Amino acid sequence: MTWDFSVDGLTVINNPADKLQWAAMDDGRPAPAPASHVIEAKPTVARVVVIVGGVLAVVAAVVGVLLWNRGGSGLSYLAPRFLGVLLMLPLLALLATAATSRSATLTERLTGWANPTVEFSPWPPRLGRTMTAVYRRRAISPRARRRLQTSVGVEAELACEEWVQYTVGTDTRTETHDVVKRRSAVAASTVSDGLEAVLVVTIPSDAGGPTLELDHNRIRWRLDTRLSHPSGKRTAARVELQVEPVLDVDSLIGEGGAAGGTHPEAGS
Amino acid sequence: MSPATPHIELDDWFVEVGGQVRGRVTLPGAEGIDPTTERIREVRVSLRYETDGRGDRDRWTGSAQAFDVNVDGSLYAPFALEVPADAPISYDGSLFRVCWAVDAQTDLRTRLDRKTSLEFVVIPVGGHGHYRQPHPLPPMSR
Repeated sequence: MTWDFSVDGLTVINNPADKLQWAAMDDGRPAPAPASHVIEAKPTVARVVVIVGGVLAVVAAVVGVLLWNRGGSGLSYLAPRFLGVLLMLPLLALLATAATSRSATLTERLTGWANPTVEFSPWPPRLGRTMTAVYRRRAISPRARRRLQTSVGVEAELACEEWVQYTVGTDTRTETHDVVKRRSAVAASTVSDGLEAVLVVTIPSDAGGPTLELDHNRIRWRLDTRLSHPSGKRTAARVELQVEPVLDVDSLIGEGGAAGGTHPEAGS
Repeated sequence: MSPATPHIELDDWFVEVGGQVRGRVTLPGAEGIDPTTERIREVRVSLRYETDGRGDRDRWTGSAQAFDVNVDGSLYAPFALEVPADAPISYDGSLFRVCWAVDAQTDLRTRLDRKTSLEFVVIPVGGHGHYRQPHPLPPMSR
């Protein structure tokens, strides 16, 4: 639901993305917005892991059913049934995981880490704006807490994706392309029961565009994060950003132009 | 060009999203028009954006401003049309573009309407004098 109202020369706007911004009415340009905004990142799982795991679980379940249906008597009857049930369990577990894949609790239990939160400041994201993103993550398993004893870093990738949908005959197809991809890595510091890392995120003004949601053509921004350790893939999490069609002129003046980007490494 | 074909002039090629497109629509006059078969009813001016590229086309057309022509068929009418604040800015990406244009259409009795379009660029709020990418060129030079 979208609404807006005016208070003493200021307009308060609430849009579907739950953004709150203050816009000055005198010159029509947005005034300073709320200082910061915290977003809980959603965990992401590599597609190949799901596919391979699913195929193995189905194969195991089929073998399990075959064993269950074997005849016999006494131990030769019970043993194959017991083994059959064991082989069916992975598929049942996978189905249960799929059914509750949006459950943060399950994902957190599997990874040992609570879902991270990212506090952006200033807020909201705008073209050319440089934001500080404070990444916080709590360790909830003993193994994750042990990981805190070692040096852990946070890797981040800011991406702008074009998404299109088109029709060929009766088929509907989609295609995506990342027009911006910027990576950075920082060291994390240990806090009481987890870790914290400060990332610098710059929305470029010379590539990509503000978030766009049309029926067949879209632009999306995302910040992908993960912990930098050998099993860091499992800790991957994503924040989707709604980039406003507003140019952050102050940032441009500070950088001497519309180049944007202060990241140590830039992708394609 | 037919005397019934409207001509559009814009004050500025670049308009901030949420701002106004200002310009003029003109018709040269009745010379050459057969008043019995090609009488001009009115001229309508409206904004439009559409996507172009790999994806299926998304398009939007704003409500039109209508102008009555003079007795001799001429017209000089300033217009100001709003670019909605929640509309997309002009975009030139890898998979698709978003193009904005002003359409002017002459409504002719018993004849096919005559239409003229002129592209312009919608830029982000605060982008005047700063925003160069990713839609850097004014329509004239494309």
